[in-house]
This record gives sequence, structure tokens and C-alpha cells, in this order.
Amino acid sequence: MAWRWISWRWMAATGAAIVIAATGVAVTLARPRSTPPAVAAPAKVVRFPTPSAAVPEGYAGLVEEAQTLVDWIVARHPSRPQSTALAATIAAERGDQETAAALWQTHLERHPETAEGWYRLGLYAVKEGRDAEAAEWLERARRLDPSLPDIQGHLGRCLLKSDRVDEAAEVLEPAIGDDRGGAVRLFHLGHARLRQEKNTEARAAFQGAIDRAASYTGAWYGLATALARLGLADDAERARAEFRRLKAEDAENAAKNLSRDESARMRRLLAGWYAAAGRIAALDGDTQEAKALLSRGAAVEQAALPSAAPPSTAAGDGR
Amino acid sequence: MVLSSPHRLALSFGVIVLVLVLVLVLVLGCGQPRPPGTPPRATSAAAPIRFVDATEASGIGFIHTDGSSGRRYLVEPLSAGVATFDYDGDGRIDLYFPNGALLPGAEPGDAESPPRHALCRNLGAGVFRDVSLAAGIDCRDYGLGVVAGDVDEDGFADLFLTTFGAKRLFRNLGDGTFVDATESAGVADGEKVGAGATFLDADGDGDLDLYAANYVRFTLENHRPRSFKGFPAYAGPRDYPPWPDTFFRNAGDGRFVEASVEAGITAVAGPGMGVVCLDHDDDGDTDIYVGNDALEGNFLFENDGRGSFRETALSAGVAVNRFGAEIGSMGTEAGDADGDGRIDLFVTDFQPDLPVLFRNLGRGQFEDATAATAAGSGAWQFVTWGTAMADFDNDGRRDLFLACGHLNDNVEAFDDTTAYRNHNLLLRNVGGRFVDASAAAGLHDIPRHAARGVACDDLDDDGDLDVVILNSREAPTLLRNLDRERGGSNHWCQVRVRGRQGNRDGVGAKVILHAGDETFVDEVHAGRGYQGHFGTRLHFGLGGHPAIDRIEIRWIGGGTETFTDVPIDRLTELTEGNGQAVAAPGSPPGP
Repeated sequence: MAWRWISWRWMAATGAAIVIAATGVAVTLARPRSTPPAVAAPAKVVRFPTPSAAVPEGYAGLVEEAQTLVDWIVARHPSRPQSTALAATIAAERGDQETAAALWQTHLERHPETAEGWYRLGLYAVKEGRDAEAAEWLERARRLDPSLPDIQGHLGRCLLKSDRVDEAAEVLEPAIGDDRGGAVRLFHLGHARLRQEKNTEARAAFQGAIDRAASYTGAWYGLATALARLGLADDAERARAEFRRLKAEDAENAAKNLSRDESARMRRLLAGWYAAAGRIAALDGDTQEAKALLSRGAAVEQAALPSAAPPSTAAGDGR
Repeated sequence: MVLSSPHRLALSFGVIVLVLVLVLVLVLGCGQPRPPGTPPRATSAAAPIRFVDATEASGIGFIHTDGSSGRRYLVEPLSAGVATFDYDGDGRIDLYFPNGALLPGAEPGDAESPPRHALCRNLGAGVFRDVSLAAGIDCRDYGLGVVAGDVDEDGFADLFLTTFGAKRLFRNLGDGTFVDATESAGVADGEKVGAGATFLDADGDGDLDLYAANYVRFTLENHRPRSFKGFPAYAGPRDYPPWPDTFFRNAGDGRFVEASVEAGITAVAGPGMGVVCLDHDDDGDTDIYVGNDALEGNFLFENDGRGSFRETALSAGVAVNRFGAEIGSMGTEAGDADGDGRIDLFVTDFQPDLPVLFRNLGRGQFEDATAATAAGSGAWQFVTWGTAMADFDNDGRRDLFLACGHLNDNVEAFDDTTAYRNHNLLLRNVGGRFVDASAAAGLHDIPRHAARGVACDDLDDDGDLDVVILNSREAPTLLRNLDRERGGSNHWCQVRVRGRQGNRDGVGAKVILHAGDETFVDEVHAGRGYQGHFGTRLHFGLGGHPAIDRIEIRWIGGGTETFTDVPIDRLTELTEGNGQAVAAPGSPPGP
């Protein structure tokens, strides 16, 4: 009979092997929580950005030059997290978050301890409304480097949006002791307190945010909400009046921002990216390349001065 | 075949291991976070709500046009809302689709049949026929909004349209035809970019007055080309000053008198979009809530009972979201989301901000409850437009339907977190919290469009609420709710309210239904959602309640009246003054 050649020992051994294999598969599948899978970068022809060329006037030309820069810097200095950061930043500026995230994924495959990588992935996830994942990645970034820009604020906000209100409050609470900054964190802490129905603490948090940034419109609105909940109707109305006044100012500023020239903004960004690229080259000891990159950055920055180019088509979608 | 014990043991062990492997792979495979950059997948509840795309079978041939040519005139993405109402009094809910019109630079297409609006008569069995021309509606204006209401109290719903241009009133003659009464009624209101509109009895005199929101002072001559990250984009509300909205008082003789200044409406101005009325402070008169697009905050016009208004949105807590930020308001909806007997407000928003649910706390005060209720679930990346707060599974809790679609048709080129065409969202109300049930409801299986207006009504008279969606540049979508076909066992009740002293459709009346230990509340609206109209026939899901104890109606300009012996699972007509529930013509069959 066919079954006779299958000994029970063989079956048991096969079963054990399958268990081990399954565990391996499971671990592999679970790994993206800490290390996302690699994404192969497309092959590109890499050329050095021409240092002496005229600075493009239009947005599209500037973006093209930025891409040339990033292709060069990633090819020349692939192991530097700064290279990935630069490439991802430029991709995100172009609205290509998928590429930006893939760049960091590739980098994190090799350097999982890069705090900035988890931080950026977290911020991309925030932009896509994936707050639970964002919180996970930002938490990891915070463990690796608590000094990342406003990491507590970003993490607290994600936790709050993920309905993890108590955890959010815990992350944001240290902002109370930060007498130099932390207005945004206090603002989010105020909202966490409102969600916890701790209205007195909410009032204190919003007031703290206002003490640090007097024209923080959102904090004035939060303060009005907390005061109204505490039954302090007159105080709430005063906070609303201040909110209304600041909003009117905001509206004026928003109108000014609308007329901002898109190409000029891009030139300023590109100048900053050249400076970052120069620093990367310098870190790897390539002084000549660093000089060339910084010099091109200076040329681009010069072109970004208001007199350099007339305002082109108005930017923004009017919102 | 006979196996020895060790073999059986080994075989069993092997099978168990294989099953475990499969389970592990499936569980862990599903549980891993998506790689960043891919669109998020909705978390679906185990929802009983299920829709099927019934567009093709419906015979609706309407195709929307925005009249675009690539110049990107501001009005293109704003067209249009949609209306569901019974125009011929046969008890079936008919459809009205406003249409755009050709703008400069657009290809003329078929000169014999330029784009026009469509009135589609419900023939029953889910079939509709375009009767526009036979009904005397040959409207080729650039349509933006629509609202239905019986302005002359003759028992038939008239139509008011907002357009890019003059506003229009079509009076229903009661014989299946309409006549253009714009001029005689005096409602043209110059050349503006119109928006949502609502009928209301503002002064309690028994006839319907009219509030029409206006957008911004855009004309073809002051068109501004815009770009975003180097790509052409539409101008927005900040590019032009807003028009104040318009209020017309019904003179009672077929004319409307423009009374915006006297009514206190022009004290403020914002880029208006969706409008909905409600008695926000429960003082027995009708207030007006106006969604403004990204500027000025939303308006709440509090009625003094005599038709004079004061703007109080900020104090009431409905001007801005909880962070103090203006909402890119598109559609506005009113309904009791949390079942506490008070009418809450819901506002759709621009991407990447969430729509906002304002919970009514009583005493005219509201609070942004979006986070606490998850009312924005799944909407983060979408521009959301039309919306309806409706009980799709008759469980007694109002769910949320949101129409999604970006305004820039090239958005994918500069923002890969969103898309021009999207699936729509169904947020199921589970014990006061909203769960994204879009996938389970079949909305992911339906072709994606750039949706705008949404209307919800029982289009096939089977006791559950169906959905019709106006899609920009494409055919509309008709979603048939399969709740009853799939054996939905919850009870329901539909109520058609008839005023006698008050306005004939009972617009503004508050209807309070008592069943067992629960109370269900609604108001009769004329104009809601994204610049549209639906739900004049009130629909209450009753859950497992086998009977209705009583229905109280608080009439505008009148007292409160109680109706008993109201049957379940039927459409019932409740007429002011007679206290008796009467089976309505066209009433769906009982259980």
C-alpha cells in the first residue's frame, strides 16, 4: 500500500519542517512593521548637474534640475542617509510620495537604525491618513532619536487621531515643562484633554500654547471650547472674539500667499538642496564635488532673489 | 484504505500543521501594514448594508458635462447637485439632474442636442424615463444647484435652480408639465455663480420663502489661470471676493421679493456651497446653515421667528472645525446622528481635511465630534461633496454616505495620495461611532467617478433607501439598496407630512416618532447635501420595534399634534389638523 512507505517518523519530521518554514514565512511577513521590503530603484543615466548653466525660470525646468541633482547624489553617495533624505524630499515635493517612501524603505533595509527614515515614513503615512501606521513608525523614530523636529507633536497628533487619547496625552504632556517652545504640542495636548473631558487641564494647555505663541488662532478656539465647557460663557466669548480677530489677519495673509510665485519658491528650495548635496559630498571627503555643488546652489539662490525673474503664473489652487 | 494508529496520528498531525500554516500565512499576511505610498484600504465593518449598481437597468441616459475645454474655468468642478422628488404626485420619487453647458473653448459636440438638464420620471420597477421636454423643462443653463418645493401651495412641487448665470424657477402646473416662472416670480437675481438653495417658511406665515447661497464673483472675463506645482489647476475661493447670499420672501401671490438686507443675510458674505435648514436651538422656527468653501467659516443664521436672521455660527460652535480651521465645506446635512433627539450637522470637506460632524449639545450649542465618533473614517484623501445622513439598514441609526471625487482631473500628476475618480464612502453608524463599510457595501466594486451631488430616497418603494449620484463629466450612478431583498428584518416607517395652516409639504416641521423606549427625530427639509434636494418623504428605521406608539409633529407656525395608530413598514400621510394617519398614495406594501 502506498501509505506504507511513509513512516510516522517521516510525517512528524515533515510536519516539524513545515512548522519551521511557516514560522519563517510569518516572521518575514511580519517584518515590514520594523523593516519594509526593498524596492528596486529604477536604473537611470546619471550626470553631474551643470554648474555653469543658466538657472531655469520655469517650475518644470527647476524640477528637472532637482532630479538631476538627486540622481547624482544618490549614485555617488548611496550609503548616506542624507542622500536618501534629499532624494525623498524632492520626490515628495513633486507629489510622488510613493517614490519617496520607497527610497526610505530601501534605505531602511540596509540601515534600520536610521531615525530619520522612520520619521519620514511616519510623516508620509500621516499625509495619507494612515494614522495607526504613522504612530508606529513615529514611535520607532522617537525611540531612536527623540530630538527629531517636533517628533512628540507629530506622534501625539497621530495617537490622538487614532483614538489613543491617553497615550497621546502622555506623549504630549512634557510640553508643559518646555517654556521655550512646544506651543503646537500644547495645542494637541489641549485637544487630548478635551477628549478626556478634563476641561480644566485643557484650558491650561491651550492657555500655555497661547502664552508661547500669542497669535495661535487654533489655540484661541480650543481655549474658547474649554471655557464654554467649564461654563465660563463670558470668557469663552472673549476668546472667540480674539480668535475672530486673528482669523481676519490670517485671511489677509492667505491672500498675500496666493500671489506667491511658484518658481521663486522652487528656486529657493533647489538652492537649499544643492547646499545639502554639497554637505553630503564634503562628508565623504570629496571637496571638489562639494565646492561645485555649493557654487551651483549659490547661483540658484541668487536667481531666487525677487528681482531675478518676473512673477510667473500664480501658484496654488486658490485654497 | 486502513491506516495504522501511528500513520493516522502522523497524518492528522500533518493536516493540522498545514491548516496552521495556512492560517498563519493568511493572518499575518493580512495583518501587515501596507507599504507606504499605496492607497489605504478601507476597513470594512461586517455590515449588512449592500448596494448594487442599478444604473444600466434604470434606463437613465443623462450624461453630465462641465463644458470644459482645458481652460479650467472656476465653475467647472462645481456642477452639480441632484434632486429626488415626486413631481407628478404618483407616489414615486423622480429625479432631476442639473447639467453644465458649453463654456468658451469647448467643442460644440452635437449641435442638434446641446447639453440640457434632465427630469427623469420614475416608471416603477427601477426604470426611469427622461421626460424633460414633454414636461416643459428645456433648461440649458449652466446648472449648479436644485431644490424642490411647493411655492404656490397647489400640491405639486416646483423647481428652483441655481446656475452660473440667472437663477430659475419652474412652476409645476400639476398636469405633468412645468412653466418657466423666473421672470414673474422675480428670482433671477442677476448673473452670479449660484450654489445650494433651500425653501423654508422663515416667518411662519404658511408659505415657502427661499434662501439661495452664492459662491464668488467669478465671470468668464475675470478668469484666472492657476498652476499647482507646475501643473494647471483650478482657481479657488480665495481668488475672488464672495457674493453675499440671497433671501427671497414669498409674497403669496406668485412673486418673491428679494429681502436679503432686511432679513440680515447680507451682514456677512462667504463662498457659499451646500445649505440646509434646521431648528438648531429647538425654539420652533427654522434656522439656516450655510457651508462656505474654505473662507469666512460656515454661517448659521438664527431666525428670530419673524424671518429676521443673525449670524451666530462661531458662538454656536459650527463655524470652524475643532482645531479652529475653516472647513472647505461642500455639502451640508442635518440629522440626528447620535439618537439623542437633537438635530446634528455634518459637513463635507476638501482633501486632505476630514468632513466634520457637529454634535448638537442643546441650547443652540454644538461641538465638533468628528474624532469622538470617527465620522470622517476613510475620507482623509478625498474631496467629499454630496452627503446624506440616512438609515440604510433600518437599524434606527443614521449612517453617512459621502460622494468623493477630486476637482482637478490631473491631480494624480502632482499628488499621488489621491485621485480624480474615487469610490464613494459609506460610514455605518455602529452604536454612535462610524465605521467605513464602503467595501462591504459593494462601493469598491462599482466604477469610480468624480462624484458631486448625492440624493437618498426610496426609489423602488421597497422600504429601504437608495442612492443617486451625479458624476461630473459622466453618467450618474444609481445604487439600489438590497436591504429588503437580502431579508433585512428591521422595521421602518415612511412619513409624508401635509401642512394645512403651515406650508403644504410641512417643510420645517419636526417629526418625533416614539417606539418602545426609543425616540426618533427628523425634520422636513427642502434643500440639503451638496446643492441638492432629497428626503421630503421622511424615512425612519425602527430596528426591531414591532410598533409605533405615536408620532408628534411640531408644525412651523402652529402647535404640536400627536398621531397614533401609525402603521410600520408603510408610507403614511400625516395631515395637519386631522390627527389621523392615512395610507399615502403609492405606499409601499406592508409586511
